[in-house]
Amino acid sequence: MTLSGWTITDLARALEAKETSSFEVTTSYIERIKAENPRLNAFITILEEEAQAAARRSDDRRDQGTTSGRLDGIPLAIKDNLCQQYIRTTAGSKILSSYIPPYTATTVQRLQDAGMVVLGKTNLDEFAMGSSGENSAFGPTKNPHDETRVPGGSSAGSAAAVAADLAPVALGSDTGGSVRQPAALSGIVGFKPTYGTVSRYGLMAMASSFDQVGPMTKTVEDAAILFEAMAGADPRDQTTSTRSCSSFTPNASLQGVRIGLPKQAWQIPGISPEVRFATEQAVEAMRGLGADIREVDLPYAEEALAVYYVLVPSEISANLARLDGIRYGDRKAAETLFETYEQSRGEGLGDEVRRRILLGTHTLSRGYVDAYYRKARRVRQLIAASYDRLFDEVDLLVTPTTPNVAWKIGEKVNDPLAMYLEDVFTVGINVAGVPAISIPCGRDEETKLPIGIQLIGRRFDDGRLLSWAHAYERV
Amino acid sequence: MSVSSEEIRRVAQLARIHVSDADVERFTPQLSKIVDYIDRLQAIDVQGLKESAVFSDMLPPDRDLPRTDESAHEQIIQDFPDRLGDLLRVPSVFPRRSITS
Repeated sequence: MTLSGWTITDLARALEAKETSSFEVTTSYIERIKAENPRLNAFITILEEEAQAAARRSDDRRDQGTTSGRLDGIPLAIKDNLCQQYIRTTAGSKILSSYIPPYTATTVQRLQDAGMVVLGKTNLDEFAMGSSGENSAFGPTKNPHDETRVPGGSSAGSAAAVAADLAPVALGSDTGGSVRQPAALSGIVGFKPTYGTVSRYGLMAMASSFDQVGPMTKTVEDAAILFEAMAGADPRDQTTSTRSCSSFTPNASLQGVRIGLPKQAWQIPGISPEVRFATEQAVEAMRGLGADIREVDLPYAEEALAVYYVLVPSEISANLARLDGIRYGDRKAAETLFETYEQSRGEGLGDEVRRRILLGTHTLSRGYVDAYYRKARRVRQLIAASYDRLFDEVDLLVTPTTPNVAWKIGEKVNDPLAMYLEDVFTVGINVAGVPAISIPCGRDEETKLPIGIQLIGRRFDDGRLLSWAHAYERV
Repeated sequence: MSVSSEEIRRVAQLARIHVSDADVERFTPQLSKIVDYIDRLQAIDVQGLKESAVFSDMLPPDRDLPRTDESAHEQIIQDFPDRLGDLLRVPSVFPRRSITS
């Protein structure tokens, strides 16, 4: 069986028609992963036996007429910061390099309950901190379109796996763009749902008020299918919402849909000419489909990045305090308890993680907490309100997903701020808690590297956002 | 307002993270650049605004929680970094003192 661009819809149809079996599909993906992973480093753990066993169980259900629905028997890849019971889960970190979780993340559990088969755990920037996939204790992931370049991050392995057809779909997590940015740089679809629609239980916490799990797929429809299977309140995550979302309709049209182009985003000087060209063409295509395009004012767009880089490190410094070498993870035993903490964390955590913990400890420390943390929480309120106001005027906002195409491995490692500025279009979305999706919209003529466009929706309007994204994607 | 190398050492101590001299030398200019960037927040007027996050219609704190899988207990013990059978070994909180006198 040759795998080329298969989607959930294709696989579900083939399984339903008994043209193939889950075992056959799963085995071909595993073979492909084994062949390509040495080149791309997309997977940290390949679950060959577990996947084949799950596939056999799915085939048995199908034979007995007790299939769990259209996702039954379809393989997927999981970012390695989502826990799966009794399967090593590392978060791309040395300190958790042999950690085996005692429980499974709700998102993973819901997809497994729907019959999906986990192929393996994908590489990531350590604890999801990074925009390039280079900050992993397991080595950098390569961009399948050009192995000398980054695939984007932090869901680097999930992006590379889907782009290189090592998995039909994957899960990532998005705190400030970690699903959408690698999707854009790797030429796939990445969806960050409204904060509170998808459970964070079992997602290793980075910044709890920003993190969301999101699908990474080849098509918008697949993203909608995975989202629908994962979403909904979970008693194990208090921040999940009881509010319901609008639903996805595959035949939606962009006719009359009001689309706002935030001038603060489109006017920043850092957008490269190739990204500007491809994304402007995409906007023209939306106009051609009947959308009503207008320029809008999105105040505090730049401040959103500053808010993000205060609140996220602050939450990181609190969340990652649990990694102390005492209860789980690597312990570096030293003379005193204090030194045991210091050594375990100093040796077990990489540069970017330590840098963000230090920054967050600084912004929370006495003398600075009012000026940084408390201030940023108030500015966050202003930013969320400015998005709410804008969505009285328009139905969607559109921006490029990233200012540049994938850069060379190593190019930005010594300049964290330059790396952070790559997230200028994506972080505001997590600050405001709204949903957003990145869809491929073209390639750079010279390098042939993919370019993504970002569509942003109202809170809890995820279904319509996906429907409109699908309407654009069809052309 | 940039950060000094002394401040980096102080927050590293607060965060219980070992940093080498080379780390301090590398982190100080990097973090100073970021702190200069986030300082633009100081110019924004936030009078009268509450601190907030993006939570809405959250679940009630007194909700019923599903029971944890009993077999997980064994794995939690297995994950402990230093064990003697089922005994979990931790470093002593107080420095050891000689009892020769």
